[in-house]
Amino acid sequence: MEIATTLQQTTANLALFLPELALIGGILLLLFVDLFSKESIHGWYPYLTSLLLFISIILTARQACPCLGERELFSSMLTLNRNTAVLKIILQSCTIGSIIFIIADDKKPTLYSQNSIFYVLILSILLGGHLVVMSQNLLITFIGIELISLCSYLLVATDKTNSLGLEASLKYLIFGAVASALMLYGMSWLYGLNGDLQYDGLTTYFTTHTHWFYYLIFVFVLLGFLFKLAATPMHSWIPDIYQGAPNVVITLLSVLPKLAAVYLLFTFSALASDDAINQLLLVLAITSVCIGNLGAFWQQNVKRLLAYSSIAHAGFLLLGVTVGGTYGLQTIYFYSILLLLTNLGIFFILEQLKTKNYELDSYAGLGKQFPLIGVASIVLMAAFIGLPPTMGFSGKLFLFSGLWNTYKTTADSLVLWIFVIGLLNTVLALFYYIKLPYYLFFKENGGEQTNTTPLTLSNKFFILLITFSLLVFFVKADWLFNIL
Amino acid sequence: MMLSLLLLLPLVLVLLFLVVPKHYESSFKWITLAVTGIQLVMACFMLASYNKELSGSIIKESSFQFVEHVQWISLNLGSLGKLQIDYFLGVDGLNVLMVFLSTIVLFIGTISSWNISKNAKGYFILFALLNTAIIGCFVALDFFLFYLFFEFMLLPMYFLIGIWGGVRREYASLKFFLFTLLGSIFILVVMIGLYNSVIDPVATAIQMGLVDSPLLISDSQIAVVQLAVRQGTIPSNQLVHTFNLLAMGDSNNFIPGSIFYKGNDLLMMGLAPRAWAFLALFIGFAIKLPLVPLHTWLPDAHVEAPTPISVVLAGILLKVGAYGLIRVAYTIFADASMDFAWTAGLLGVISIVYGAYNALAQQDLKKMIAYSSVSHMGFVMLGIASVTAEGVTGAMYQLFSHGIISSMLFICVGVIYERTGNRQIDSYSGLVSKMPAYTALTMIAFFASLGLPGFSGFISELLVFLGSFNSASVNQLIPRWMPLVSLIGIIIGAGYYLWTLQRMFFGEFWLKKPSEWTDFIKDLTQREYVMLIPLGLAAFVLGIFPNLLISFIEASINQFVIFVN
Repeated sequence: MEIATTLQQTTANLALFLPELALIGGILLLLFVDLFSKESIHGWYPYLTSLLLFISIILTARQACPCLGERELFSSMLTLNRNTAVLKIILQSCTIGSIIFIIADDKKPTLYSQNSIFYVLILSILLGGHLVVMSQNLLITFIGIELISLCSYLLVATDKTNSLGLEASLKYLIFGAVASALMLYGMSWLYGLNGDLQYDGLTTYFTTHTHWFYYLIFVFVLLGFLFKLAATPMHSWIPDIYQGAPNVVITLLSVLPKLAAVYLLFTFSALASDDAINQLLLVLAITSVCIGNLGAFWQQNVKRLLAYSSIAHAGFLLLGVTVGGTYGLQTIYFYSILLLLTNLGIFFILEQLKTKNYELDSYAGLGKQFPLIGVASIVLMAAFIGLPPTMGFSGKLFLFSGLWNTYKTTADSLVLWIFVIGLLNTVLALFYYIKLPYYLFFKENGGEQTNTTPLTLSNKFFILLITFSLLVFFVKADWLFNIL
Repeated sequence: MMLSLLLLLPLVLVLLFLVVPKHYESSFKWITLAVTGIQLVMACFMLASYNKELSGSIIKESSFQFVEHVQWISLNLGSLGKLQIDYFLGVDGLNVLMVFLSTIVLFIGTISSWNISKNAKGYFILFALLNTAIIGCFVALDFFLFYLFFEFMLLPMYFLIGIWGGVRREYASLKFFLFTLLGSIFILVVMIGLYNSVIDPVATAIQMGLVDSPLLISDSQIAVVQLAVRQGTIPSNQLVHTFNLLAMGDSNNFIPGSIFYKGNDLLMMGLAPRAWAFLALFIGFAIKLPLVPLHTWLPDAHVEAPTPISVVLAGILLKVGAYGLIRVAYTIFADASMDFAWTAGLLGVISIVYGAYNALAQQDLKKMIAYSSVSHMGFVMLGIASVTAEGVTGAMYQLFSHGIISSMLFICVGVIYERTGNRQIDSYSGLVSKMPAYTALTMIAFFASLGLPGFSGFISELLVFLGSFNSASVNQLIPRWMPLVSLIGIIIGAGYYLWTLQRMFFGEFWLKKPSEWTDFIKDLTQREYVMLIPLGLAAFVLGIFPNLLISFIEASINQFVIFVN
């Protein structure tokens, strides 16, 4: 009898698991198509993948209705509520965004049409993201994170002719394996102490255990998440990855795993609701912001510069984690969409300009040649820095308002210092972010002709769309914020 | 609608320029001229229909004219309450002249941009964006809106200096950007703290269901809400936090226990949070003003900027700093401003004297004028710091007068620079024999700037002087030695202007590179007359009939002085 009811529940739950089932079905479909089809069909993979993702988005959008309430799936292994559904939509949009890169490239590089593995990996990363976001169980969390990680290692090495990419992939694998090991070690301790893999057990973790050792275990787990987020102290891998991996892949990796990780950190810090952990996250957040910004200071390579800046943004996301509560989560989501749009935009632009090595020098004078890209890069940079009138300013405003509130409730002077230092970092950020527009507009082209093909109409439209959304979500930030 | 039109007209221009193809760009200057001309006419109409008699507390919406107030962004923050950002514009005596001045300087700036040929499309788009940001900054009565325009001035300015500027333009533009951004971060810190502390009584009343529309609310209902806030009987999720600058000025709107609440006895490193907030705002606006020792970006930016941008920078952008001090720092943190009056006055005096000494030492004519700006802005600071009716009136008058005179001065520099590409004072001598009209107009500008009676500069400096001298007997904020020391600045001012006149314009005609320059040394063109003569006349008329302008501002300034004291 017992088994019968469980089975019944499981099959009933499958209806709520449809977006993920669509992804799994898509992965299998792509693999089979690859086995049994002619090569001429391979050019359709990006479109097929987008279609699958689109179906998955529609299915998820139905879950985003607040009427659904809080649902437990598969004997409380997964949970589904409005927050997770919204985040899943953000992750899916990010994936579609990166596929657009391939569609937009009119040369259709063979790199992405040899076989379907690339798309299978992309869908698997997304599936991993979904699992992580919905997880209520340490085991599922680990599986989700590993699914993301393993696919990421492979994706970084997509271009096998690029030695930088191969090197980056290997580095990523080694760092990632160590981080996973640390996390798994911590998780096994948690399991041993709680006797349970469910998250629920964590709520009383710090009320029953107060010895520093228990904190250490918890921190091990957090380190695994911080690695995915690329926040200090687990940030050192990211510049090489950015430099080595193709733009399509970085766009995905700069957003999706980070959001999954930040959601985990948010959940865990809420479960623990412990002052010491919160303070630790605050300190790590502000060190991330500072290290990222200072590291980016002297970079001459745009991709490395963006890598360091992404460490800083990871710090800002972490600040959102420490804010906590519904407001904190809304802020994180808002900031995530900001990161999604800015990263999509900037890497799309880099992809269009196609300079050889992404050195800043190679962009000299291109702003006059491609005025639209030039203007878009100014808006993007303003959004990255957090200047009005872009969404970046709203994001920072919400974030720091939350932090101010933390200060008001805790009256902890550390928070105030972090508040001030965080804001002053904007000036540091200006110094390096302005470099790209600076080279685009102020420097004269040294005669080295890089790329003269004009943008296609649809690519122009995509750049305009991103630029406008960044402006619109400043002017009417409430449209977005109130639905998150 | 008047203010919105003023604000949005240049934005329409931006859209127009974006879609018009590049080979029409020779007409862009005409279109820009037409639009800035329309703005100028609109500002004149605004002055004509401005009711000078209307006076009321500077934190009451009813004492503003041409008010536009609609809800813009409304966020539901759950347990933290609601956040409301308004599109709130209006003018009173504190900003009406600044709007007028902006339209004048922008119009002159457009004429002065006539010879911009390098990428004219980009130039006029940026110029139009700057135009919107400047007007917006002066008319915004919502802190968020104000901050938006305040920051948005930076980007166009960065590119205008960085692309169309002189040799060291890249260094100068980045320095300008970093300095002012640093300043605005200080302002942002306070802004976030403020809106967390302040509620909008009207919107809160609506949220609580006391009234249906902001138009129906009465003063007594507002008082009920404010009392309830003080007693803490409103649940926090019904409090509507606001960026409204007027609401921030009213201490009844502060939530008890919030960081900027007057009654809390919290100390942060020996100072009350309100004092810190005032200091942060003060630094933020002092960078813009600029006040010694935060002035170092100004000479660089001025020297490298093209002539029209120098005109706009000196003519209006510096005024934004002073206006911000009056409207934001002194109004919201009036209590804290009293404690720092001495320091503020001292910094003003240092700026006056140090700026003047530096001007005396300059070889570059443009740099000399840049330093003289620092010196003249010192008077503004001294006047504001005294918080006397005369002092603040003098400061406001100085803002207007310096806007006119410095525009004229920078155009004069531009005249010689466009002809020879050299601005060194010692490269020229006896210019009067070849360029008599130019010499005459430059003399007028110099005399107006050094404060000769009969010109507007004299009136403003006299008023500041009276105000800061009286302060010792009225409110004991500024000691008497400060205005006396600042007299040194005026004397040195006369010194550097007269010395420059003597070196450059009089004596025997001589040029450093006669073979290259002689052909170009010609007197003013018609376009230059069109710019210089009206400005010179304005400086003269305002020096004879100060009441033309003072009548607009005195009611509000009296209210301001009463409010702050």
